Amino acid sequence: MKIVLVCFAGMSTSMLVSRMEKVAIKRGIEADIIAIPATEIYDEAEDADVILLGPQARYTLDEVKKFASPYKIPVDVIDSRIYGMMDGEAVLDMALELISNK
Amino acid sequence: MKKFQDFLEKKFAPFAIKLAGQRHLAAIRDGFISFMPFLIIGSIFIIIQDFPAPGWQELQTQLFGEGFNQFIILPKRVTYDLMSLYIVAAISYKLAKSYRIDAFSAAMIGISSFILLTPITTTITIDEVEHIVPKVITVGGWYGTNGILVAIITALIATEMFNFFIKKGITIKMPEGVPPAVSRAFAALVPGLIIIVTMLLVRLLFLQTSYQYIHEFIYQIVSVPMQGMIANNLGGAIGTVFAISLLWCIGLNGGTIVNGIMRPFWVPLQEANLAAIEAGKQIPNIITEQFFDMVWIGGAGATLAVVLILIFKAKSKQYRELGKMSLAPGIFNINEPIMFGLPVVLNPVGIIPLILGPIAITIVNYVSMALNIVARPTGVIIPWTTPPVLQGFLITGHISGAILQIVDILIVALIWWPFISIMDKRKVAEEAEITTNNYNNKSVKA
Repeated sequence: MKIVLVCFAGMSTSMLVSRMEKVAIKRGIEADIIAIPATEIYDEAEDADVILLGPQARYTLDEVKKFASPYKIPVDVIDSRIYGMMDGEAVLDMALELISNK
Repeated sequence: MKKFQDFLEKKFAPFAIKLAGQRHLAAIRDGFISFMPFLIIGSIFIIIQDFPAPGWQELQTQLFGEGFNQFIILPKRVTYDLMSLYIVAAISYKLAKSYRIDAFSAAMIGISSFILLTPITTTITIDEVEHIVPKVITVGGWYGTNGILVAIITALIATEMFNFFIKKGITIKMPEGVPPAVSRAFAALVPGLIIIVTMLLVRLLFLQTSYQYIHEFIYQIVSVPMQGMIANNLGGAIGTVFAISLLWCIGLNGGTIVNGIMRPFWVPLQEANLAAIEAGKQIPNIITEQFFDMVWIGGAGATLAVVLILIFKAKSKQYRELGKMSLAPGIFNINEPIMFGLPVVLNPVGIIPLILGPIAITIVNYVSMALNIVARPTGVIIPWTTPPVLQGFLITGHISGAILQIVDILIVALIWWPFISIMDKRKVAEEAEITTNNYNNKSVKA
């Protein structure tokens, strides 16, 4: 499964990505997780299973939803507290829940 | 306080969010960011040429010969001093990309447009006689940092025109079966031609005026007043720091947004500092972009001090964890873990030190540089992620810069201390409640 995280500049989000990957490996889940700035969703996110926005990128929510709807990809914003604590487990759970509710 | 918070969320946030997402501002911002690596590379060679160690200049000539000094600075010349050419291409590219049109052609057209608006002759003096040399692109001058504003305007206008023609189908359409690269090139032909003719007309127009070139016009009308407002202006510096902090209050990366807008105006300031050093003169400007980089110790809010307080003084488990986790990013001036984890964003207790801390050290830094107690930024560009203290040393080329940052950390720590104590007490109480609930539940189960 492919999880796409959208951020503003990409620096702290990549830390979140590596934490999520650690949790995924521990649980035996095969996941391709990437972090990109909003402008790159057109090139990188067409095959995503879920798109999650970092809180500082929340202003792009409308644009990303518009992009994602023909592909039926669920989109949501990560809660500030979870993002601040770089809680890889919580974000991964959020992604999994969105995918299963599709 | 509640009124301020409401204002932030209801009036300021939507405006700031619109500003951050605005297509042209984003293209300018992203264009400059993509050029940063080149400026940093150029800076490495400035630092090599001019390393602040006594005796280095003599050692250079001894080891490598007389010509070394001018040779080693070449990477700076082809980056800093040709900046406008790169920037016009970069911004055209980014804007075209956001429109989902042929960004490469847009970049190429941007470059031609810029050169069409810029002098391509230069004057040299030999034996007191002035000669005009034709067909010359100068390293520096309007092709360097002085041409930045025109580069930005040209990139935006040329790419808007390009987008207009492409979207309206005013292009040569190749038959099916022609490879996409060829069709794209031919599609760019008619728009490119119209844009180039337009730029030619603009050049002609300005040649009829006393300004001669659009560069001189923009310089007089915009650059000179702007420099007056922001260079060596403590009020302007405080305003900038305040604006950036305010944006962080609502969780937007204030630095990226504000720097994106201010950078074109800051660049000539550091250029002037570099030129002064090369000419052996006093450094004129206290304010450059790097002055602000020095203020953001650990990121916006100067939060490295916060991280240190959390690690050594926090009583709640959550905050000790947060401190440990935020140390590595904090050393590289990345503050998101603290911003969203403490949290500072949308938290009234966090907002006050977030705004006051940086303003306090801005004043301290500015005054100490104005009084020449601390060396001013040399104008060299280093990555904003350079760890504090080392960063202060590299930016000012002097130990006083490093010491200043240590003093700054102490000042900021004092300002944040009472607020963190309040938040920490709350966390401790929260954690105690959870433990009590767990204990009660266990008792009930038993």
